[in-house]
Amino acid sequence: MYIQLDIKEQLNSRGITTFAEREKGYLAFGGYSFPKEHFPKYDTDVFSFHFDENDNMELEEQRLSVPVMSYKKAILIGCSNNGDFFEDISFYNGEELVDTKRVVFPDILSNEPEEGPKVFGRFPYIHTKTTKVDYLQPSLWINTIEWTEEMVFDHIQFGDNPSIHLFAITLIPGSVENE
Amino acid sequence: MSKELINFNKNFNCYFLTVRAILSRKAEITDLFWNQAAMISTSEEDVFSFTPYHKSLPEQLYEYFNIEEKIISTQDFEEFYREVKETTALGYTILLISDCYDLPHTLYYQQRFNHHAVEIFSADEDEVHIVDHYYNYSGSVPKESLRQILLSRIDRGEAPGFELIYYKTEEMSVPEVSGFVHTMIDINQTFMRGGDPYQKPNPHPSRKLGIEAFDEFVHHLEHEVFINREDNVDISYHCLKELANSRSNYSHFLLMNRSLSPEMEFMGEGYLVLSNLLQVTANMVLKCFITKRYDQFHPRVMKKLNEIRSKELELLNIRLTETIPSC
Repeated sequence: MYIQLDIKEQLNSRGITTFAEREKGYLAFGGYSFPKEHFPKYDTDVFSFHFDENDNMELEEQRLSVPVMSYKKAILIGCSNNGDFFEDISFYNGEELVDTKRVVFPDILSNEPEEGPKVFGRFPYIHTKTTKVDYLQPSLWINTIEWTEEMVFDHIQFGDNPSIHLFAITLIPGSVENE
Repeated sequence: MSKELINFNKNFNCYFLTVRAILSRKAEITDLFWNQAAMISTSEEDVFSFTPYHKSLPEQLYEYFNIEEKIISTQDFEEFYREVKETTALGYTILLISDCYDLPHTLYYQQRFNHHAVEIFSADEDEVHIVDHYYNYSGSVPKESLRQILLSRIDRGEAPGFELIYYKTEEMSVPEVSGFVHTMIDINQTFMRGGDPYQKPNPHPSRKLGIEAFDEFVHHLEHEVFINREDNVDISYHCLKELANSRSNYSHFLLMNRSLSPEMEFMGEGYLVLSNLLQVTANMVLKCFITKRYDQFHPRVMKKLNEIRSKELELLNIRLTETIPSC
């Protein structure tokens, strides 16, 4: 079972464009965006992406409510711009902080690190506001948080780091019943 | 000669990245070279400067590693090109200072002037092969195009002539690592506490060191970005970015020598957090400048700068103890 978090209300940036829309791209200060026509195929039961005016969430201390239950995994799809970044993500049950995890998102133009995030999709070129650049192959990254002991939480608190862009978040429930 | 042709790393500016690549073709120890993490500010004739570096890279390379920087400068392009061919034929690769404005493979081509370092990897009669480590690019540049690229800089008054730089590594020596690491930490910490281990004679009265320099920088940034809302935020952005790079490289330097002291790992991890914080703040400043959302970003940036200050002080309080070798 997968719980795709609804982040539509939190979307505040555009990172996927067709060639005709490339001017709207805003993943980096040069106006980078991923070419929509090469967006990786994905299992719609697992991930939910948005292909609208905004398609990703820049981290600005958002608080995201989730169904209260026990979870064993969180999967985050995203990237950083203008550098490789990490950020601590906090998981709360009511007012109680139940866990904090540090997640790393490499730059869209970085190579895959030896540990941590993996490539979710690698694109053959990148859009800038004016053209497509085919000697740069950007990547979208996948991060998996795993808990050895299942965690019960009802919301996720992000930090203030607008260099990190999240495109989709999926939670995998555990087996423990919430009281 | 080459290990990797392109030597890319986000934590280096184009100059450091190019020198690092050039030296990595000759030496195994380039990670030891990047270890400066101080803070020094000056404000001379209304020009504010702020740097994490207390010694120039060529000075440091010479003093600790006996690597000599050689600069050849001439007004005659043909003579310059002859030197390029001869130098590369001897097995050296060359540091070339150019400008993004003149390089078609960069994002700022014909749009914005920005000094930019690349490596000349090889040369023949008609073209040179350049490697741009910052832009992850390698390719050929015809001799005539090279002349135009360099001439543009000379015409703009940014270079005294056609200039090439290379590094003589034949006499390179490696310092005893433990002593070297502790010396570098000691120098950085002395600067950060406001002292000058080099006792620079007659420093400019505006010169500030360590946390006091950081406070000057914060004051400058707040005025440049949020109060005066200047036409560009280059100084604030680049200072934050370079500070982040220095902390990241220092972190790497500490972590690769973690066996020397039990506190080294904690300190190295701390500087990594600091580097991340600084880079986030640099990007916030740039984003504020581009979006003009000053009121929204002002408190966020100031909060980050406070966190940075606290973290610097926290790391400064760490006392290193020696690791006792096991029998």
